[in-house]
Amino acid sequence: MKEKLEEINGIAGVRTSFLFFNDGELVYHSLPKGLDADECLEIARDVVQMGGIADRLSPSNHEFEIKFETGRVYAWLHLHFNLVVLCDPTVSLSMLRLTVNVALADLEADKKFQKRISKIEATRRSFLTRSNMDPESWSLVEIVS
Amino acid sequence: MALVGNLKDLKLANIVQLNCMEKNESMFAVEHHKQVGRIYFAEGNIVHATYGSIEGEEAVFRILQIKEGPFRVESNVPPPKRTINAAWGNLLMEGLRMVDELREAKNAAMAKLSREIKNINGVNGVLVCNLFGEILMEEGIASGKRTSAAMAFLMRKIEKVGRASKMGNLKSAAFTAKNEKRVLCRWHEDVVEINIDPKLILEAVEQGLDKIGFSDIKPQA
Repeated sequence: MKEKLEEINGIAGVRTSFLFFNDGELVYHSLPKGLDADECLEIARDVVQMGGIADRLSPSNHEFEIKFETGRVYAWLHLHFNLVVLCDPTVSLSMLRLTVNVALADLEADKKFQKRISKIEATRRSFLTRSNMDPESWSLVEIVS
Repeated sequence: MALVGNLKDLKLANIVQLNCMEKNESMFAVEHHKQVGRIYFAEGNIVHATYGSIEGEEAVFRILQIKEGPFRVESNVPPPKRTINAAWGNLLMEGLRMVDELREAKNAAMAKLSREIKNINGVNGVLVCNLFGEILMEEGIASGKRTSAAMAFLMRKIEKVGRASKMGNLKSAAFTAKNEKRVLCRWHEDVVEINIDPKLILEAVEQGLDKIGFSDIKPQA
């Protein structure tokens, strides 16, 4: 897994990438400058909660592309795992997509990885709990549910 | 003892009426978009109000525009000073008239915005909602309450991720699922969801938005 993240992190403009499993395990290769492990975990959880809501509207794999003033967040959400990539605005999206698609295909074909994720019973929706968010967000979750 | 609630459940006009008619000496406080609005009651009238750095009647008019937000009313709180001399009934009437005018102006702006976005190539529908998931305008598709609540949730989370990752404010976001793609952006205090052809890339939508002057369309005249 870490080798795949290493490949992604090698692309010019990628700050870091991490895999977040639906059971809460976070796998990352290296932390970007200015972010600690807790902040990465918080970002991963928020992205997964976004995926949980997106699942309620349309249950499928999802791809998120979020453009901020000074950076980009890309996320690929599969059934049992979620890949999040933090980038500079200058990153080549086509190069990133190409590398990510290869990495995702490799992970899908990796028996050890598949065995690991087959044991995960939690879904993205597991993170959509009242204790994991502010009351206003929770009232929105209740409407969507 | 303080009375607490949310303005979506109890209208400010009713709170004003009650405190003035009962001649209470009290303070009403509401939180809205990280700003606090306060209205002080004494001698059966509104005697002072603040909204951020604004004081007096203008502050009352600003607070009357707030439709949702947690509030509290505390009894026996004397006003720190007097900035309002108008009778509460007149003040309330004038404030509610301004609220109506602003609402009409916003509806006209949203209709223009939705129409122009809908004309961008590859756009199937537009939804404007607030951060509480309330639908403000729909064009092209009937999204429903669940979708608007989901969009409000996504926008709250996106902005949280922006803060956590220290990447600043959102420019735009695209969410792709099987057979559908949604673009999300902020329009002043509200959220715009654009339902697009899944093959359309985010940059094409951004260019279309620039062309129609998206960020120049203001919710109020």
